[in-house]
Amino acid sequence: MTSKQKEFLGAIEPHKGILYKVSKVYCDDINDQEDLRQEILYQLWHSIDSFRHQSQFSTWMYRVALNTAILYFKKEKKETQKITEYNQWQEKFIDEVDNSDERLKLLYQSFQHLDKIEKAIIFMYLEDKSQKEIAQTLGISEVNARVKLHRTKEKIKSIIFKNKDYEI
Amino acid sequence: MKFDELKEIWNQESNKEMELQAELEKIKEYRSPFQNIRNNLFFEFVFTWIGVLFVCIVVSLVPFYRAFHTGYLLAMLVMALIPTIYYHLKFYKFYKRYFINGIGTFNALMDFSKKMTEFISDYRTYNYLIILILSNFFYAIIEKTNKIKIVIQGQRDKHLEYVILMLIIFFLIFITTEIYINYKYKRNLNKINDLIREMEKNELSDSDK
Repeated sequence: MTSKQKEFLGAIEPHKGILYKVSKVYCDDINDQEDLRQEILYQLWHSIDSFRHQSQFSTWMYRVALNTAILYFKKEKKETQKITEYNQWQEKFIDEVDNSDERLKLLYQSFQHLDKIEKAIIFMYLEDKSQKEIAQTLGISEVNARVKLHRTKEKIKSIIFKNKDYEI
Repeated sequence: MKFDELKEIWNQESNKEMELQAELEKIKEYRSPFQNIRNNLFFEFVFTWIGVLFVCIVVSLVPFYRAFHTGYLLAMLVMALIPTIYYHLKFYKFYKRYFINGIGTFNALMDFSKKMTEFISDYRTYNYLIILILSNFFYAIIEKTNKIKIVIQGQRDKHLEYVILMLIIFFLIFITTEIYINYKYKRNLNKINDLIREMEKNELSDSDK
């Protein structure tokens, strides 16, 4: 491994959760997740020289990771597996389950019913990013980010909770 | 349960098992439509200049060209070089803008799609211009071998030979170019346009402007 690669990995390591979680939000299949992680890693590696330290490294990583995920073209796949999983999962709601692993699984499954932009928005919301940061990362206005975040949360709520009265 | 409690569930996620070094070593260049276009463009650039050099060498070394007037040959070369340089300057600007600086936002993606359509159009124009010029050289080679002769009423009709051969050469290269453009560029551009349509459904375009 070259010294540049070591330096690169050293910079990425504290934020590797971004890669891991983005790939899980965008792809339900393990192989697709790995492909997407590699694609993001490739894009980060390819554009590391363009990082100009004007923003935090993690902010830059969020931007590259999400843009890569949004523009990622999944290989053609059969949709049958997804539909089956959806039908099974609808019988369970996150507010009825106690097991934390299962809750996490249900949360990730619900993301598969969002489109690419909604996935980016909910991902940043869960990462505790402000509406301003969401807007900047996606290159949209703050008002638009707020409206879209609200719609996405409504959508998630309708899928994930049995009790639909929770406030968002 | 509040919606914000989803953040607690989210934060329970562990990524300790992910080995970055192993992932980096496994990086295989995934071929997205962008990378396909980028690779094709780079290949085209190198290939075109090798082609230009090859033609220059052939023209200067092979004796058949003596059938042509030197001025005519020079004019042909200049005619080939000027559009090649012009096209490649445009190509470099396009390449730098989208493949070195990257495509960051939805609007940049829309812009890329438009510019890529223009680029394909430029590419087609450039190719046909070069083909017309190079067809003359191909004709010279064929004519030199004297293998094709069109004889009308006992007399060889060189003009008709020229027109027919040029039409055949042009038609063959036309088909090849169209298939090539379709396979290398349009197919990838269509995938990008599909993505744009998908994102437009999300109404991102209206407020992203």
